[in-house]
Amino acid sequence: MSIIFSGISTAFGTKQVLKDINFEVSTMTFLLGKSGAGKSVTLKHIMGQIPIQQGSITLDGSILSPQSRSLCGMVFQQPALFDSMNIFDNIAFGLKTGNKKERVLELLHHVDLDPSIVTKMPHDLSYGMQKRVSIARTLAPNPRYLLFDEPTTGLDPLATRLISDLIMHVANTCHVTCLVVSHDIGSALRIANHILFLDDCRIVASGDPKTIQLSTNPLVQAFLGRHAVCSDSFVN
Amino acid sequence: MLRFIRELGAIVLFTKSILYALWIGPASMWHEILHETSRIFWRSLQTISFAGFFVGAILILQFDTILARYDARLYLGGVCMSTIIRDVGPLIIAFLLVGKVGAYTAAELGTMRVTEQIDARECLGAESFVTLLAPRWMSIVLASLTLLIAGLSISIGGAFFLALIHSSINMHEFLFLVPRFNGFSTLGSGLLKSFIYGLLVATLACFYGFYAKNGAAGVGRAVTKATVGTHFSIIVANYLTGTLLTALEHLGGP
Ligand SMILES: Nc1ncnc2c1ncn2[C@@H]1O[C@H](COP(=O)(O)OP(=O)(O)OP(=O)(O)O)[C@@H](O)[C@H]1O
Ligand SMILES: [Mg+2]
Repeated sequence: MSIIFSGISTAFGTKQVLKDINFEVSTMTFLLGKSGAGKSVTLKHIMGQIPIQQGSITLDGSILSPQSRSLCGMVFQQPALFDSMNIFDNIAFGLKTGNKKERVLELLHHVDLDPSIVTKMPHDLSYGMQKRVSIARTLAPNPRYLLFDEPTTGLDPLATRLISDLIMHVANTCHVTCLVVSHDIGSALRIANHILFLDDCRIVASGDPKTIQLSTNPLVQAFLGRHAVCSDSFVN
Repeated sequence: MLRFIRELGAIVLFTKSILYALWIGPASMWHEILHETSRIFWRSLQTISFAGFFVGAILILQFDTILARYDARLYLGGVCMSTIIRDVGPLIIAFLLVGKVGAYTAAELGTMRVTEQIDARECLGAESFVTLLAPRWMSIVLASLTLLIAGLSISIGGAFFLALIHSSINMHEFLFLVPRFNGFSTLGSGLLKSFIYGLLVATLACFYGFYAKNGAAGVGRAVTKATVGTHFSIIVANYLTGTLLTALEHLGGP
């Protein structure tokens, strides 16, 4: 039960972005890389926003299709709340049937927000709260896979920690598999059980946090920075 | 030139997709369309009325000066109304609609695009053409048409009002030659032009807004392209429909 990338290659005009990418998404996978490395393109391939040019992506053993895509939910870099709708309508947007009110309240509880905000408009909420609402909205149709595009970029260290804790909490309580695209090695080392590094169109390092911390790849080293120095304590 | 042709092709395909979405869309879409149409209509009515009134008034002032010179004030009502309905009215009111409705729509869709709201909708299973573009497009077409008709009526009212107070002719004199100059062809021509201008406002605003990219600057560019493009195409459409209708009238005439 996972998403598998096999031989994915993508180019825009003459610019190669991905080249023969192969990996499998496990429970909590982090995809890291420099800006412009093609991380968002990878997510957009799963969501069908950028067509696959070469290779294939399988979801639960079968080739990705519009039907199977409905098992995936994506949380965008910006909260991307619908600003003409209140919080209730935002969260209920993806709900087709069932008791919407009950479900919305349940989701608000999952992301640790007060039920009283349902009548507010998105611009009445702080950025961190909007981010939570956007996670609740994505969880509404019960996806089995959650894709996050840079969930912590632009947040202060405290908010970063809160959001990454929330991701872990959601993954555990809602039993979803998460693929998180990020620059934030700290969160990755803390909550991921699989980390991938994308550079120069390819996966240059992959493994659990322990393996990644021992990697000699220059990009990984550069990302690790101070985390590499204290790797001893981590390994111990 | 090649870019222009490519863009034109993209706009045609875009319109085709919208029409298809309207065809396959659920019945509930029409509730939303009516609701949105009335929202746009009421939001813009004040501006359009104000401008419409002065369009009529200005035309009266112009024609009155000329006709008075030839002692032909009896023609004032007929000539003025024909000009308002056929040409100047739809043109000026459509220009206002570009600013009022077109720019608003392009900016709204563009902002939705660059803040990833459109992507978020699509990821939640809402197909953009069916749930976003088709209802909006149809609402703008309907609202533009009704606003143009309202604006034209108010222009005529403005012309009438100013004729009475400025040109010292009475109501009977004003209306005397109106039927002679304003047959079905005048009315048809005004309505046809209004409809075409509404289509242009809706299509270009939706197209440039929907495909906006690159942040706030991109939204700015989309709005500029939508407004300038619509103004330009309205002028071209005015010329083309004018030529076509004149040719038709000559064919049908004695
Ligand atoms: N739809 C597209 N058309 C053309 N080029 C694209 C498209 N999407 C992405 N690219 C290009 O692909 C490359 C990778 O983009 P991508 O958005 O995946 O980077 P990223 O790794 O997510 O970077 P960041 O960390 O800054 O978000 C960039 O050079 C970008 O310009
Ligand atoms: Mg990105």
